[in-house]
Amino acid sequence: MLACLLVVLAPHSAKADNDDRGDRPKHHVRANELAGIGIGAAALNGVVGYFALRRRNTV
Amino acid sequence: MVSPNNIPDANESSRRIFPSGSQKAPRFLLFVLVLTLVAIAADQFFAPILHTTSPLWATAAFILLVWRRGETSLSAEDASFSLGLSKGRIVAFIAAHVLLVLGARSLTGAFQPLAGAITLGGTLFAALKLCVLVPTLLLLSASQWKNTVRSYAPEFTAALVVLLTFFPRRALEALWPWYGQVLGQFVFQLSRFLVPGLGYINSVSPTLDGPALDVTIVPECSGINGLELFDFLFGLVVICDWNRLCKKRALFAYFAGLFAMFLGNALRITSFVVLGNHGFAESIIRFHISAGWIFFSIVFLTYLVLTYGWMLEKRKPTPEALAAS
Repeated sequence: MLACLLVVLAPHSAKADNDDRGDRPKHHVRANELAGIGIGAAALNGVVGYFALRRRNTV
Repeated sequence: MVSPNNIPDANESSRRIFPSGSQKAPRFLLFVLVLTLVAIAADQFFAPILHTTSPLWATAAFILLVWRRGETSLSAEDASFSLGLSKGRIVAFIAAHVLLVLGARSLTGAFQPLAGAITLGGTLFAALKLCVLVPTLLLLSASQWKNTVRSYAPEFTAALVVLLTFFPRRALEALWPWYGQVLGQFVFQLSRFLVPGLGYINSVSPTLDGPALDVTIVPECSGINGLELFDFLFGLVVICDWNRLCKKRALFAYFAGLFAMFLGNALRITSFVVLGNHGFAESIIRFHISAGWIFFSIVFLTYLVLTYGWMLEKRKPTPEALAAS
């Protein structure tokens, strides 16, 4: 859930941060930034999910 | 205040994750493998034309799995596992790597156009780079290698799987002209019932022409990201649970899982086409990259939930448990 929330909110946050720079041209979140957020969230999701499953199968 | 008896064992948490075996792995075999890993890394540092990650990952996987397995019944009986390495063999090993580096450096100009090329020559050159593993054969005698492979057959097989299948980017790029069409047609057939008026534009990167959103399937949409995520997460599962896994089932589950990720990728693109043409075009454009990764992790977890219990060895009930029942 945390990972999914991160994926949804991070691009908005980064975009708002970029928009605040008044004198600079407006930026968008780059594809590699989005991919980075996605990779981190997916890895977190996978690892946490696996250890939860492992714990359930060990107890 | 904490009394000495209550101080938690520093290794307690690691023992919970790696419950058995790890302390008794034959040191000489671990030494051979670590030496190989260092030598391959050095080769690639001094001759960048040899750069390829597969042998590094495969050797690292072999080290971790042998360490996890510990001593086997065969290795415990085999006297050759308690022997050290001869200096002559180590010198021959180092000399072979030096020759390899010098040869690669002198031929860099000739091989440079082939590096990374998706051609027959490029593929043969990529296969040729695996020769960095050959000097390792010099470290042990033929009979020692035979015993090692016999004693650690599952670990050796797993390392081979890592070497040959963990990095499929080249294979997918080579197959893209065919695979892209299969993927595009498959997604089109799945989506057309949910998106009226959807069209299919045939090209190397096929486009699904929808009323609100056109989705072009480029080579980056091949599912390579999903496969790599699956490889690393499945690798984590295998390393953590190596001594509990039924090896044949795990091998089958690995290849079936790759197929599941391909299928998951097709469903991912289908969801983009369907949602993008039903009022969520802006969200799809903004989130499709990061949400795609999350989708892949959900596919992996779903697959793991379905197969994890099946992959584990069924342990025989203890006499106490039988008596209690």
